[in-house]
Amino acid sequence: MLTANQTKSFIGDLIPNDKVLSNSLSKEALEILDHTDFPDRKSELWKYSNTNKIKKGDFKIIPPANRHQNLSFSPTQINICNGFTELAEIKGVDVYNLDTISNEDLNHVGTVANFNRDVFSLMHQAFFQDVLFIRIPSASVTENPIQINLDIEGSNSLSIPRVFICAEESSNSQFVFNIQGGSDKQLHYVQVEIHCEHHAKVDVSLLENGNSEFTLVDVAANLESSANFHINTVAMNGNWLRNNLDISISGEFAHASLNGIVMPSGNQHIDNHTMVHHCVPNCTSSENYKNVVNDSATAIFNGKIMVHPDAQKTNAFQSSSNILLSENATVNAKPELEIYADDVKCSHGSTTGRLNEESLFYLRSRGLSLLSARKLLLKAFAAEVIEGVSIDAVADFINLEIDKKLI
Amino acid sequence: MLSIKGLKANIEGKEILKGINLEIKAGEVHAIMGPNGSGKSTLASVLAGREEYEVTGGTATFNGEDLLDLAPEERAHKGVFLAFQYPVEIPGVSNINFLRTSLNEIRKARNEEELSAGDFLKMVKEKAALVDLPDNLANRAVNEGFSGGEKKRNEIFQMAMLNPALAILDETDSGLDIDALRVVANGVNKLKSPENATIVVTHYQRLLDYIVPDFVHVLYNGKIVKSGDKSLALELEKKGYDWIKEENGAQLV
Repeated sequence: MLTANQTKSFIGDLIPNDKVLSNSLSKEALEILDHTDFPDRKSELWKYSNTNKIKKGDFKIIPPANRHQNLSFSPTQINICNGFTELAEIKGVDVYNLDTISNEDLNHVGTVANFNRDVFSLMHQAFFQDVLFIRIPSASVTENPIQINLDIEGSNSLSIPRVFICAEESSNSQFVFNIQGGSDKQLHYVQVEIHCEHHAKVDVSLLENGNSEFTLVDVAANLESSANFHINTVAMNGNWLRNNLDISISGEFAHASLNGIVMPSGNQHIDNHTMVHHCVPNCTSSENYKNVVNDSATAIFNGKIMVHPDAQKTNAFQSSSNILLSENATVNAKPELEIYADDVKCSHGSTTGRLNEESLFYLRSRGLSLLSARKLLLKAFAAEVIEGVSIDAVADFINLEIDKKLI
Repeated sequence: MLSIKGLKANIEGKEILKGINLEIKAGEVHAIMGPNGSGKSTLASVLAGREEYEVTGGTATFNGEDLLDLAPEERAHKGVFLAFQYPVEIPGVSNINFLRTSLNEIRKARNEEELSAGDFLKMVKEKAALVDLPDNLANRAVNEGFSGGEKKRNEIFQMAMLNPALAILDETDSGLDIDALRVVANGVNKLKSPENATIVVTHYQRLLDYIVPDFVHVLYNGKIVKSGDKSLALELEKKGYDWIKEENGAQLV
């Protein structure tokens, strides 16, 4: 079969890790991969992001080299390079890699994400070579945000890091995922799973600043009752970047919020797919994505809220607003609601436009240069998202990046 | 200070200004009056550098420099200030942050040192009092949710902060009740000095009861058709604009 052959050539000579295969989901993924089609343009999930070039790639996992990390958002950091975890101790928190993880914990990996979504998620589940497993013990609070640096080095390099976070009951934790990468021919595919137990509070900043040929980032979260999950996606660079956020609200009175500030320029292509499942009654979710697209770049926002039949009294909100800074910039916005319950409050909306000319003239008439006026208006546009960032260093980073993006 | 000779301007191919001549010296207040559609706001916009208007002829020299050649922000750096007829709401940008950026960019362009935060706040307090601007307005987003009167007061507050050489007030009286009008006019009068000049663009004579002009010009059909002292404004108030139109050959129905 042609498609299976394409999948085979994509996988190449990747060999699954023996310990990973003790996880029954990984074993299953390997079997399913055998007869799984590659997504094409007809596939709704990949409609705007062409995966054609990826499958022709010849990517290999290579050992990590010396990495140089220059962005610091917290004194607590863990490095992952080319998919391999450099273990570090964090006070009050359990941290494991594949060597130190118990079989019981390893068996959790793949239970939050939908490993059978497509050929990519199957490939990850079957072939990841190392893991970073973090457990935030119940009722504990992280002293500093946990910064996880995810880097990829080398040419034709494949990096498939796997992170699993278990936020136990009533814990409170903050994470910064700092996703880097060179401009080489690389495939960087990050999978993060976050399990939020009852009353746990988890705050995630997803910073994307690498320029690998292909970057895929999957973040899946499962929310038990009264859990509170907040994620800020800050996608400042990405040659071809696809984020898949998959949030499943499975306990009552839980809340999820997903914000994004996305600024592709040049020929960059940044695609944000979000999925929020409301499975039970009395939960809330809100989503606010801001795309600022310059030059010939493309931004895609495809957000879906799914309200399942039992999820009465759901209150879900979704907004995508877009600014095009040039004639050749493209935005594809597709907000979606799918509602199977009859007593819910859901809304969604999308706007696309340019910076307001009248506002620009007003600012310039008060002495601001065209460039400062544009920067001021863009920061105002991003303000709603920046205000939701709880880590000051991350908010400062966003403001600096906006300055850098406009020259 | 400002010398306008034969100024012509179009918008979308339609000629609005058809040869304006105007001389303004430091210390003077000039009122520009005229019926709707005569080109008053166009003149104000062209002087401030609004890009939708295309200047097709004539010159405007400001302190010896070609004003029309400068970008809007460069005009601001040289001391030109336009109080907008419809001040723009800018959500997400705080009034204070905006003003500090504005003031410092102007100072930088003039090779002056940036104001310290302390001096800046002292100045804000002092100038806000000039137009009775409540403290909370200074801290809110630029003009967002301001009433009509508050927006106009905010314009004069900005003018006070930037201390321009030439202030152009475009229909600053429109939408103001009599008390707000007095406050705004009072602010403008306090800012008057022998070194600066003011152009008051207005439809009605009412504002000129409070801001007394040295010269009054009547703009009609893109030209200044009559100039005089403040008594001209009173005459217009009494007789309306029809006699101006008749004198200039309009067919009255």
